[in-house]
Amino acid sequence: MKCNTVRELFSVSFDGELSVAEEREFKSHVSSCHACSREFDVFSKSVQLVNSLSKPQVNPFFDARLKQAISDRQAAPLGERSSVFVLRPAFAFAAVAVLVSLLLLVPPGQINLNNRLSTSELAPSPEMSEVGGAPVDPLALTQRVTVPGSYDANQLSQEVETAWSTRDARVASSYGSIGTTVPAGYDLANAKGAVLEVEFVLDPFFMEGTEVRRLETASAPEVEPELVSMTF
Amino acid sequence: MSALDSRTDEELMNLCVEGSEEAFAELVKRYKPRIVSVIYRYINDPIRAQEIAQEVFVRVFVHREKYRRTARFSTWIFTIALNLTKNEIRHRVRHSRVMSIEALKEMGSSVGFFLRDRSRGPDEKVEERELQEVVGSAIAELPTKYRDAVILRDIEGLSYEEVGEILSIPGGTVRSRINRGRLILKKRLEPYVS
Repeated sequence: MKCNTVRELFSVSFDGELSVAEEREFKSHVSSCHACSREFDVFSKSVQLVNSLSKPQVNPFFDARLKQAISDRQAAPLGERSSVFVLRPAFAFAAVAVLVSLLLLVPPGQINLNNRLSTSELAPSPEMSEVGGAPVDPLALTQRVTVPGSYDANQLSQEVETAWSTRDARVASSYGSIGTTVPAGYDLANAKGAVLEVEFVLDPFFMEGTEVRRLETASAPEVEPELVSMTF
Repeated sequence: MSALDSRTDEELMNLCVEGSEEAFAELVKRYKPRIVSVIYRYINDPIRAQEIAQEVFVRVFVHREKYRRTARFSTWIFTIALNLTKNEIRHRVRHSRVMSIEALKEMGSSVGFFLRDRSRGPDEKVEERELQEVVGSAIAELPTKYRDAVILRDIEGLSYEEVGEILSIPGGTVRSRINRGRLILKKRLEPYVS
């Protein structure tokens, strides 16, 4: 066994997850290699240090507050639930719906043909592990949408404006200030040619049994998309 | 010792689905320290960690009928906890400043600035507190994919299999992420353990 291979096995050996044969080979190398022996010693101590981190005390009123929170939640009609956690998926779906509506509302002749629209399944999958070259969480996705070069703003419904502003879409092209938050009531007509970015946050509770699809648009040739936000 | 003590988590959850509040209370008793702890390790804010943990249990109860009887309860609840915690982090990032990639690069390894815990009292020994902060910061600064694996494994003591189920990654990836995360931590913590 070589040093590099041994170091790849530090964790599984520390956790006792190696097979008997692997463990024998691992120990044989470590006992005869001073560098690996020292490395494994420091490695083990640092893991033990992490293991020994103190844990926060649970609030003595935790159970009472939980009971109250559950009865409040059950008492509140769905529409009155104000928790961001509850509303988020709804916003995400609204945003998806808005994107579809937006694309359907734009007369075909006015669509920039360079913006090829395709769909692909949106689910925690390997191909979702990277968007724009940056790692993203499987349950979240940043989505860029190229607003067509010209369209009739009157064709956009109120729903469009609401959803865009709700999702804090950010202008992410050379046509707008990078990182600018699109304010409530943002006039999409003035976003001509801009590339907007919308974040979708998925919730497993609301996604269960639902087929969700992702809209992909290629960027307009003159616009170089830039990743402007970090998704955890 | 109550009759519920000897039940598995999955049996308790099944009872909970059938309407047993006692079974739910037992699950809360078993998991609240672990859920609070894992959330705290991400956001370094003990008060907010308790609030998010509460929301986790509210969701477990409110959505109890969506629990798949074949699934392991621990992976289900930790998945919920991780999702809510990441929502919190996104919220904090969004409301702290415009987090452009360039800004993040400039911030480099100090991304933990908004995660700093200011709630500790003066009673703790300074050295121990400093060491805890060093370790906590080292974990907070790990790349996300390694941090998830290390927290679940080393803070919560979950098995490799459970970590894989929660993060939806295969066994080989779990092993490699835990090892790489720990190797990064080793480099950071070496001066404190040598």
